[in-house]
Parts: sequence; C-alpha cells; structure tokens
Amino acid sequence: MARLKALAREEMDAEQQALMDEIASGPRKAPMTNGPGLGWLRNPKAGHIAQQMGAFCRFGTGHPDDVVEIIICTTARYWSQPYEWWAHKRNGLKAGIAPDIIDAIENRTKPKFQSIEQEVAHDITKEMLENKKVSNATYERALKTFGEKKLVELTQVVGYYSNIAIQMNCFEVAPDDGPNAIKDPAFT
Amino acid sequence: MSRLKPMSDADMDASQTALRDAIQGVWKRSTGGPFDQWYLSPDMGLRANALTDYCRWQAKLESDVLETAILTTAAHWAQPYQWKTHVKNALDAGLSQDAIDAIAAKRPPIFATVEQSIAHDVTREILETHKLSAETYARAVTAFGEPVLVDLAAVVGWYASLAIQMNIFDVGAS
Repeated sequence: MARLKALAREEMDAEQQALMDEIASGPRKAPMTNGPGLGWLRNPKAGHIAQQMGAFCRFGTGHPDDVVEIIICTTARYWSQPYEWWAHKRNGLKAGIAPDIIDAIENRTKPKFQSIEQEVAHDITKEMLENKKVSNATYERALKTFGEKKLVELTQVVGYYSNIAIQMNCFEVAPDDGPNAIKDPAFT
Repeated sequence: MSRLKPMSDADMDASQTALRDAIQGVWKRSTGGPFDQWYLSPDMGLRANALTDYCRWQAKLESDVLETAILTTAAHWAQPYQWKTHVKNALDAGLSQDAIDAIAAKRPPIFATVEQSIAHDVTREILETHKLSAETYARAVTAFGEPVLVDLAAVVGWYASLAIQMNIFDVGAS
C-alpha cells in the first residue's frame, strides 16, 4: 500500500489523463497508474519528461531485452524495490532469462548466466551500486563487450532505474498483485 | 580525468550537434560533467538533458532546499564533479560553509532552516537505507506537502542517476 493514493481515471484532470494516454499510446501499450506513474501523476509535466527516459531505457537502447532486464533486475535488487522487482522479474522471464538466474539475483548469490553480455552487464551494475565506482578491470571488460555507445546506455539504465527505485521507495510503492516486499538476504 | 574523451565539434554528426545546442541552451556550455557521456547516444542525451533541466530549474523546491538535496546526493556517491559544481550553487543559495562541510563529512549539519534539515535527512536516509521511516516521511510530508515531496524525491533520484553515470566514467571535478 503506497503512501501516494492511486487515482482512478475519473479523478484525473485533463493533464493527468493526457499523460496516461501518452504512456498507453507508446511501447508500454498501457497506462501506468501504479509504480512510477503514481509520482508522475502528481506532476504530469515532470512525468512526461521522466517517462520519455523510461521508454528509452526499456525500448531504445542497443541492448537486447534480456540484457536490459538483467540490468534492471540487478538494480531493483540493490534498492530492494518491490514494484520494480516484480515488474522486471516478469519482463526478464519473458525476455528468456532463466528462472534460476532471476532467483540468484534476488538471493544475492552469483548467477550462472546464459551469455557473456548478461554476466558483464550484471557485474558492472552490481559493482557500481555496491562500491559507488567501478574498477579499471570491470570497466575495460564492459567496454570491450559493449563498446562506448552501448556502455553509456547501460549506465543510463542503471541510473534511471535507480532513480525510479529511490522515488518509489520514498513512497513505499508496491505491486497491486504481488508481494509488497522483496526478501532481503545479506550481501555476499 | 574521465574515461571518455570529450567530443569535438568537428566529430559531431547532425544529431550530436542538435544535442550540443540543446545542452548549450539550458546550461550555457555543452561539455564536461554529465554532458560528454550523452553525445555517444544523442537520443538518450536529449532525454537526460530534459530531465536535468527540469530538476535543476523547474522543480517546485526553493534553491537552498534543492542544493541541500543535491549536495547530500553527491556526497553519498562521492561524485567529485557534482560536488564541486553544487558547492558553488549551494553557497549562492545561502547555505553556510559549515553546513556544506558537515554534509561532506557525513556529520549532522546545523542548518539555517527546518526545510534544509528535512531535505538532508530524507536524502541521506533513502540513499543509505533504501527506504524512508514512517517518522521521516511524516516530517517531510508535513513540511513540504505531497507535490513538493514528489519533486524532492525526483531530484534525489535523478541526481543519483547522474552521479552513477559519471562515476562509471570516472568524471572528475575538472
């Protein structure tokens, strides 16, 4: 139960309805009345700008879906954000990530990845968030795997989904039909 | 000393030139800090520029409260460029050097206003513990109201994003 009340469509003013329509007409194909949308509805102008970056991170980078979702799941795990975890666990499975990889990320154990790209994306994300910087070895490995453009886009996905997780945690945003907390094992 | 080379005007294609002009339009400069990264993916860069423009210039926060939140975020991530830039802004916005030094040292600062103090506490707690206690949330929502608190959370989130990206590319204070 979030600290921000969900709004029914008839409770929204024209600007709020327009924001939901904009989101629904884009690649997400549905309005976003829970999750980050709860905050965006409080300020549709900011919501419009933020959702455009969200759409880029989900659908506009040069990374395949499984790599994008590995980055997002690793980020959601770090911040223990239940909505982000729930939504992107689902997306990750849909993108073909093996369930035991998702479980290992949730349990903070080392996953056995299906590709080098998944592994490198996971490792740089985790190292950045836990250490607040990345070693030369990790940086060079990521640069070699992805090249500069895709590496910048990877950092944007880590940053943007951290941004969203921080905001949702301020307001205790959780999924409507999923667990309202993500388990919190010790870091290993 | 960043891990990326700044892009020179001569190397830019049309979309990078458009991004440069958009950045220049908001910040009166177009290189350094968070900007050099954005040229590698100009469509991403335009969206990042719009979000940063919103947080810095349009969010519903007084400038001293805004700069308190940004400095606390920069201190958390130890991001040298963000720290240096926003120390200047914070002094201009009226924060005391003592408060700034305390933020840097992660000591409890003595702030001039209750709003600065709450903005600092919210920012530190959400970044360090990944959640906000009921008590901190209640103080913040009473002090700011819901719409302003939503913008405060947006600023902390987005400046954390900028700091994360800059730290991956080792962007220094320049």
